[in-house]
Amino acid sequence: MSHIPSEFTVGGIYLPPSLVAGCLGVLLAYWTSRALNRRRLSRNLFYPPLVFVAFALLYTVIIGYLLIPF
Amino acid sequence: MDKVTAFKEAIKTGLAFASVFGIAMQFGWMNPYWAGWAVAVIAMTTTGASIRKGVLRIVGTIPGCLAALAIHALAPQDRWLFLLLTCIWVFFTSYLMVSRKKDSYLWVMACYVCLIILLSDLESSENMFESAVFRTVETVMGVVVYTLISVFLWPQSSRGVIRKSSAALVEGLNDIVHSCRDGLLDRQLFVESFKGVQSKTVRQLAQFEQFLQAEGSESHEVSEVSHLWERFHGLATALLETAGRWHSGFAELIRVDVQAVFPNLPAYFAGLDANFAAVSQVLAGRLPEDLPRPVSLANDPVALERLTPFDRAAVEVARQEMSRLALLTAELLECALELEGRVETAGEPEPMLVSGVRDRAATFPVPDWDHLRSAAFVAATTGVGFLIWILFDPPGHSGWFQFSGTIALLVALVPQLRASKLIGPVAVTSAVCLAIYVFVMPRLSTFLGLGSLLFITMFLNCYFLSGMARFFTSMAILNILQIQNHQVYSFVAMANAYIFFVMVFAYLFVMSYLLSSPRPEKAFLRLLHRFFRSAEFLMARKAANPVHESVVNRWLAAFHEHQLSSLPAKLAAWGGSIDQKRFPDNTPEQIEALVTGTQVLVYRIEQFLQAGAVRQTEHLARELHDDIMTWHVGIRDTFGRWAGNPESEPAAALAQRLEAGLTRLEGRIKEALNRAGGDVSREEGENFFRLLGGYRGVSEAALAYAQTAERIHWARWREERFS
Repeated sequence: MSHIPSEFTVGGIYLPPSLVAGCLGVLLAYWTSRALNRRRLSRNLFYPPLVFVAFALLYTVIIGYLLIPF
Repeated sequence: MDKVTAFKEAIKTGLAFASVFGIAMQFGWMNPYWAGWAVAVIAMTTTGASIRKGVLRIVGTIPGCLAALAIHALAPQDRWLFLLLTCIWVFFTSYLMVSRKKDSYLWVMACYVCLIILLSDLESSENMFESAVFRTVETVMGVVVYTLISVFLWPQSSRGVIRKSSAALVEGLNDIVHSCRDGLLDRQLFVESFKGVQSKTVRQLAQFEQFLQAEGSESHEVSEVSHLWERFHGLATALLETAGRWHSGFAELIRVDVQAVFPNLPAYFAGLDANFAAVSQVLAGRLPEDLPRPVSLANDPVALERLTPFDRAAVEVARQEMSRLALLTAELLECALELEGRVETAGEPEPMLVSGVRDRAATFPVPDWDHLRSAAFVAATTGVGFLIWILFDPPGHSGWFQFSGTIALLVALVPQLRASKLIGPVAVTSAVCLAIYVFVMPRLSTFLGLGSLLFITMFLNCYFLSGMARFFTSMAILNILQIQNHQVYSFVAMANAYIFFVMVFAYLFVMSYLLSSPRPEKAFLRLLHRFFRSAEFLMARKAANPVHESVVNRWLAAFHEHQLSSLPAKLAAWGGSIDQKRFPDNTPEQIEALVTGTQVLVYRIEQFLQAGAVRQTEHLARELHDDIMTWHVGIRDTFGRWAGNPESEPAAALAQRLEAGLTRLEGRIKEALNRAGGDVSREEGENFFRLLGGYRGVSEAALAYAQTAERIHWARWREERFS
């Protein structure tokens, strides 16, 4: 697997891959938290805001490792 | 506001907005958008309201500029001292912003302008004084331009609104008294009708206050007698509270033949009606031929003797509130006469008739816990923003210190406003403005083009949007378009600014967790905990009944009294923001009933605290001291348990205990009265029954609260979940 940072261009403007991976990570964390709320599984967590941050970081790292190297 | 008026107002704002940019650019003033901000923010529905906001903006700008210069002079090369002094100023101004409703905007400006001027030139402090001067001059220019346009172009005057509003308020107060009269005489509690009239009058009171400020800024005649209008407002508020306390005790009068106990009840109500009618007439500019005679309320001692001790106690409590109501209506009439110049004011105004609890609390300045928390939130957000800037320097740079502090002020003003909910609107409006910046602005070469663009954007903003949406769109227009005298286009700078605006709201959302959860149901539980802790403290203090109390203890009592009286309104605000979709088991009506239950508890605790203390020297009190203390300790412990867990005291068990306690105490009182024979003086009897009424009132209110609280799914509220 290549670890050369990927390039994202929108209309000729380069976006940092970490920003794209970070945004996707936050979006995935948001969807996960919604799903956990819907099934009332979040009540088993000690402090959900911290878990949200952990999810966002985890997803960002996974996306960075598998899809968008940064 | 109808569509035609909204169209005219949008044209006025758009015109003022484009004009101030034109003037500032013509004279080559620094940052012309400062004047644009003044126009965008002070544009209100009436000229008076705009003038008032404009004056507050100008007056607040001056201390903000001075504070910035002082901070910079004291800490020119010491970043930590700089941060400390800034956070102290931010804390101080934010506290005043949330606690002083009348001039709240002045303190917003004092805080916000200080942050702007502190970092107006990052390269050197050389231009700082110049920035402070330009900021003040452009703010004044923005206010003057908008005021001139709003005065000469389709003026929306507030003249006369205070008269109309006061007449409507008097009518509302009269309706409240009628609702109480019907409830008392017809033996039906009419809770819904009373609540309806009460909330209508509360709205009228708030509207009256707004109109008073608006018309006071526009008319010299009104500002000259503003102290009398304020007194009128204070009396109307006291009247509303007294009627609420009186009405909360109706359930205990259900077995009492009130017409037999108060033989002159029809005359009493007729007297109140006459007072209200006279106030309305005087406010309409007509002096009644005969001023109404003072209203009095007498009871029939024989009918009173026939009542059970608890019914007698309830009558005593009601009599006190009814007498207060009569006095307040007489004072209202006197105030109206003074307003019309029919009565000469003799020096100092008379002290206002408000509850004794408030009087005691007023002697000690006590902080509001929630206001302290809000101020701490703004100071912490500013401080952490500063650290983010100097340690990581992400896109936005000094904006992390300046802008996040400013938006934190907004969140502190409306704590129910979720920063996470603002991310979407800010992202969308900023994206639209970024597109204008990229695709439209580079094509403009004259002020005619730029002025037209500014006019159109502000016109559309004011015509189609209102409230927060309008504010955030104005923010996007002013911050993303970044109009300067020497316009330089930089997509990178603006794209970074866009990312920064979105990130700063996410940062604020994270910071809102710093002090405690911003979830409405969690905030509600937290407030309820404090409510019952304060109630427990005050009950314990009453039981101890100290003759000489330390200053600290009296200050603590004033603090808890303030908490108790202010918490129901905060509970109502947080209760209204609980998302019903997340908690389908509890309807908004159930939450409203719970809040009403706390308000009734406040009324009853106030009545109880005003009732005389149990004096060992008095015959009845000595005889029944132990029984009363048992009851007292029971109520205090119940409040203590509710503070820990709102469902700890089931209503059925409480009702059973209350009934058993009432029956036992009733028997003991009869025994004591028989033993005392004629030894009990009238005054001692009244004091004792007032105190007894206080105990019973608190107990009944606590029972009613417990019944309402049982319907709430507390466990669900306490559950953790993602916001």
